[in-house]
Amino acid sequence: MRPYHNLQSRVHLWYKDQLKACLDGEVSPPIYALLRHHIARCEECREELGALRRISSLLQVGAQEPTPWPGLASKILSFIPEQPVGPFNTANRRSLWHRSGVAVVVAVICAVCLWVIVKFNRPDRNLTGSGLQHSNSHQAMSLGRTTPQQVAAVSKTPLSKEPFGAKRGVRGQQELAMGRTAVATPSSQLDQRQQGAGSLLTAPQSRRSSPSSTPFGSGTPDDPLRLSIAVDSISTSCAHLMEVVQRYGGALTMASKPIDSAYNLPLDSDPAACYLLVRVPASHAKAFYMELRRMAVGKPSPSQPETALSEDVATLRAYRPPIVFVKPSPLLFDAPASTPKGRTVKKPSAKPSVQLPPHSRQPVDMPLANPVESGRTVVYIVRLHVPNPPSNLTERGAFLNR
Amino acid sequence: MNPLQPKYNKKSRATAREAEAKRASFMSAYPEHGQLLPTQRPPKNEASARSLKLADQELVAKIVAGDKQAFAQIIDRFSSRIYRLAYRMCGSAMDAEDLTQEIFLAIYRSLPSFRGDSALSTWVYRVAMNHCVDFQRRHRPETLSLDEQLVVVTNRWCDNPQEALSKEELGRQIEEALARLAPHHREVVILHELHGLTYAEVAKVLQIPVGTVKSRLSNAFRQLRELLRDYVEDDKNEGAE
Repeated sequence: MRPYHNLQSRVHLWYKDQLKACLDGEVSPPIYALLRHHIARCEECREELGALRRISSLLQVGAQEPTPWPGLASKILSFIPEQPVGPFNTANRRSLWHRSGVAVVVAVICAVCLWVIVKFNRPDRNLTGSGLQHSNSHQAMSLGRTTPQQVAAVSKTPLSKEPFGAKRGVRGQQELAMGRTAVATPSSQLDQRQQGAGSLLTAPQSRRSSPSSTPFGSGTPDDPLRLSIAVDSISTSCAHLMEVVQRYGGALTMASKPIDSAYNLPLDSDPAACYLLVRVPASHAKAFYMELRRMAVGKPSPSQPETALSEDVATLRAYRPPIVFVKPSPLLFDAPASTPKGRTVKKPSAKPSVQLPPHSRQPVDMPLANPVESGRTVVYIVRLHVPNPPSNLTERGAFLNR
Repeated sequence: MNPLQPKYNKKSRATAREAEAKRASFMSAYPEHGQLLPTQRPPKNEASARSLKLADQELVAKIVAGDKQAFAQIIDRFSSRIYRLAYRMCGSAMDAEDLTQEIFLAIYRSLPSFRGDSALSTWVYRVAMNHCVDFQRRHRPETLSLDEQLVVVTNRWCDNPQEALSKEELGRQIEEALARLAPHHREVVILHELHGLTYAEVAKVLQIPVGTVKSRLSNAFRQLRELLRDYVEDDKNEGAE
C-alpha cells in the first residue's frame, strides 16, 4: 500500500507520471524545478527514476537493431520510375475532396430521409395498430356491443402475434403462482386479471385523472403523479410490485366495485383496466412512491416519452403524499400485511360490521390493523392496463357491470 | 480607503520572499539533489534547423523535377532507419525489406505533397508509420509464414562468448517485452527510445498530442518495468553493492 493518501498521493502520482518526461528533458522549467524538489524528498520517486534510467539503457544496449541488406538502396532505386513525379496538383486534390465530401453529404441526407420515411410510415401501434382494435373489440364485447366481425377478429388472433404473448407459457404460469402466494388474493380474481400484458399506471388517490384511451394507457404526460410502467407481463409487474410493497411493510389487494364506490374511484369500463390498492405505512409512503416513480422512469411506456417523466425537482419538493386515514374495512384488505420482524399482528377484536354487497368477496377474518404502530397509512391506487386482454375478461366486464 | 478591502498585497509579497529564501536555503543545504535529474535539454539551434529545412526543401524540389540522384540521397539518409522501423513493426527481416521498398516508393510518389511544415525526417517517418500500420492490419499474426523461424539474429564472433550469450538473452527478453506491449505503446517506445525522436516529433508522426505521447511513454515504461523486472532488479542490486 502506498504511504500517501488523498491529495498527497495524487500529487505523488502526478510527479511519478512526469518522471519519464523529466528524464528525457521534455518538461518545462517550472515543472522541472518542482520535480527536483519532490525527488529530493521522495524515496519512491528516486527509485522509480533509477528504474526508468535502467530500462532506457537496457533498451539502448539490448535491443538488437538489424542492419539492412547492403544492396537494399540500389534495389529501391531500381524500383523508382524514370519519369518525374511532377508538381503536386493541389487543385485536383481539393476538387477530389470536394467531390467526395459532397457525395458523403448526399448519402447522409438520403439515409436520413429513408429513415424518416420508414419511421413515420409505420402504422402507429397506439392509434391504429392491432392493440387498439383488440382493446376496442374487447371493450365492445364487454359492453355487449360486439359485432360478429369483431368477435371473429379476436378469436382468430394467434397467440404468438400478441404483443407480449411470450410470457404466457409455463414461466408465466409460474410467475402467476408466485404472485398468488405473495399477495394472497383470491385466485379467481388473479386468474381473471393476471393475464396478458400491460402497463402499470400508478396514482395517489388524491390525483385521479380520466382513464387512458390508448392500449398502453397513460394519463396526461405533464402530470408527474401519474406514472406509467411498461412491463412485459402483468404477472412479472405484480411480482415486482409485491416485492416493493413488502419491502415497505405494506399490503396490496385488488380493488373491486364496492371499493370504487367507497372511495369514489372513477373506474372506467375499459375491460383492460384493473385496479390495485396498495397500502403502505405513512412513514414510508414517500419513499415507496419514489420507488414506484423510479420504476416508472426506468421503463417508460411507448405513449409516454421518458422526457415527460424526467425528475421535476420543484414538483417533487412541493409534493406531499396524500395521507388517508384508513379505517379498518374488510373491503379494503382481505389479507394481512407482511409483518416486519419482531412485530406481532393484533388479532381482530370483533368481526367487521360492514354490510357487504352480495357480489363482493367474503371478508376474511383477519386484522386490518396497520403493520406499523402509527396507524396512519397511505393508499395508492395502482391501475393496471391490459392492452390485449384474454377473452375470459369479458366475464370480468360482466362482473364490473353487474 | 475602503475598509472592506483586504490588505493582501504586503502579506503576499512577504510570503513570496519567505518561500524564495526557503528554496534557496534548501538548495544550498542539499546540493547533491541537483545531480538526481539530468540537466534540461538545451534549446535547439534554430538557425541550423532552418538551414536544414531549406536544404530539405531544395532536395525535394530537385526530386520533383526528376533528379533521381537526389532521391538516392534520401534513400541513403533514411533507408537504415526505415528498415529498422519496419523490422520492429512487422517483426520479420523479409517483410521489413519489402515494406521498406513500398515505403520509399510511396515517399517518392507523395513527395510533391510535402509542404515543408515539418521536418523532412518527421514527414518520412509519418509515411513509414502509416505503411507499417497498414501492413499490420493486412498481415495478422496468424498468417506468418513458416520460414519466419529461419531468420535468426546471430552474434558475430567475439572474445567473450558468455557476454555475447547474455546479451543475446537480454535482446530476446527485450524483444518479448516489446512484443507484449500494446501497439500504441510500442509505437511510442520504438520512435522515442530506439529512433531518438523527440516527443514533439513523435506527436507529429503519430498525429497525437504531445501530452498523449508523454502519458503513453510513461505507461509503457511502467509495463516494461514489470516485464523486465529481473534485469531492472539485478541492475539495482549491482548499483547498491
